[in-house]
Amino acid sequence: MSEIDPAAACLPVLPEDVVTVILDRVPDLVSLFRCSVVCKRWRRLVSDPVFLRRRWPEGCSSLGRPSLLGFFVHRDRINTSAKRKISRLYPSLSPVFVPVPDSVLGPERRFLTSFIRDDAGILDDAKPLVARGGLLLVRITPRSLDKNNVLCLCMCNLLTGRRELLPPLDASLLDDNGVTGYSLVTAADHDAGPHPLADGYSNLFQVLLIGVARENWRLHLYKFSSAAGESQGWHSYDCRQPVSLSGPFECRIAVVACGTSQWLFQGNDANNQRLYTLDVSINSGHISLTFTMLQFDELTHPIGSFLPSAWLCTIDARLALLCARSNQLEIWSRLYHQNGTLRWHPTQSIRMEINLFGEPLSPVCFIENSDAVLVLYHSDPEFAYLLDLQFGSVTKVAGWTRSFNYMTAVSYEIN
Amino acid sequence: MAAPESGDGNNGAARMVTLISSDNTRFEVEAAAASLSQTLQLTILDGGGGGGDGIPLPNVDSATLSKVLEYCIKHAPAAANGGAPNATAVDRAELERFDNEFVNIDQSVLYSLIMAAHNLEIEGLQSLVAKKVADMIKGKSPMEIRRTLGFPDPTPEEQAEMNAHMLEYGWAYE
Repeated sequence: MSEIDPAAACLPVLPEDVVTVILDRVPDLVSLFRCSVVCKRWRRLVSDPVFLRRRWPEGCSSLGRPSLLGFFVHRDRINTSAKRKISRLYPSLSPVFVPVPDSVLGPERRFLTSFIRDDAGILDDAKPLVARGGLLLVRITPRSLDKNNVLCLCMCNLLTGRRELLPPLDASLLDDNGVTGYSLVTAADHDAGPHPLADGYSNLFQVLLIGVARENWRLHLYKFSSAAGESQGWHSYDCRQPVSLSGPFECRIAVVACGTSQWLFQGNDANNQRLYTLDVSINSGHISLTFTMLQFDELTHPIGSFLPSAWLCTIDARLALLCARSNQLEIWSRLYHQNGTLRWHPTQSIRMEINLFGEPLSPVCFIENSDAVLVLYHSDPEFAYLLDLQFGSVTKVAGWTRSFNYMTAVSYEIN
Repeated sequence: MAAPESGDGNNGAARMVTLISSDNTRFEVEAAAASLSQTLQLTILDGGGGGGDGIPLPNVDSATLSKVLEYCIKHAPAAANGGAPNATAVDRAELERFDNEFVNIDQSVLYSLIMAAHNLEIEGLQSLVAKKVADMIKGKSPMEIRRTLGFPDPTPEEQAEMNAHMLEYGWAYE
């Protein structure tokens, strides 16, 4: 083997997909075990349940398959004037935890306060926003009602039971829709440390919020990091998008892959058929924003008049689009087109076994590590279904009711 | 640009396509060979890459592309036979010898190759290079792996973590 030229491309900079292909071929367990301490990124790749399941399909149960436990969701008041009562069915005002069938936590209904100690009632009426890596971000109700534009967010560590308040964010810059997109980047998404934490925080995370500025209709990004060293508090960025955009389209929660948060936006052109991704990546405090128009073939464009819905997600760690069309979900992937561009093509179609009056199903919440999605039929709001994207199977989620605000459903997964 | 000889001597009837590397070098190659790339296959089936217009590959430079095509040309006949169930043992041994020789190259070239194979979705090539790198990993300590593969020196934290790991899981280092 020749000497390594330090200036040449080296393995550490290869994309994770490619490193995974290599790790897939490391022949023995001991070598792989050693790989897991080479660096943080490799540790994450080797300990990724999808990876382990692929390497040892027969032993997946003993190796700890990623486990979807259930969903946190905010319960709507029946009408806005009625004060919600604490009842036997709902002894807590905090978000409801709805377990999935076979949840290791058992079938009973719980509440966020079953996970997080909250004697002060701070989590009462809290709205789940985004969850990732054992952390759940919720919006809490400010004590004084005159501060409508102030966003009070609280980070809950579902494993340690601790909650930490983020500094309040004055979002009066944004239009009436306020914050429309959320992203949570956790320790596992960061590059190899060390990352010392700011005072008052016990978890490494970054929160990104996005909305439209009232004044110039441009996208506006807010960022908060619990890492020490950056000046504490919210940082605010004008996204200066090249075209007029609305969104995030369909899904408010960003897809996070390799430390980059991605949202889908719809272009405000004549027929609203253009989709864009916004990639936000943060490295050592520096933020970079990239807008990319999604390229489709005219004939198979997914958001023609019949296809109202397109979701960005990751399937098997690759970026994909989920499109709902009547009772099927189509999965779109990026492939090279003859002119050298990456184009989106439909690559898989999953038929749901139920179909209500031809009404399209609505994806509500994508479950990252389980390659599954929570879906609803709006004409039958009493039930929610879990759709497995690998096998196409559909499972009814017991304990779901119409009083849940599906817009706030976020999944809770553990490894 | 150096056009590869048509592999099966099919009276030149084999369809040719042109690929253009990121540094604008044109490569003319049999469609069957280029079709080892899943991404190119779609384009070629659509009738792309023929005649005057080539298929631009903005992510692959000419040095890498010529290496990629060397692999594709060698493997195209076997691939056309559907994994070559009727290939002779001699043919298979020859391919194996070629593969072993093929990856006996500088590490930086290996990395460019695997990136190209990944982008072009040439499964056999990606697998071959990945196997080569995986073999370089095999049997080494974490520190040796880092050195072999060109990682920067570990941070004190990473070093401490590796030491702790070796202490705790001594069996993996015997």
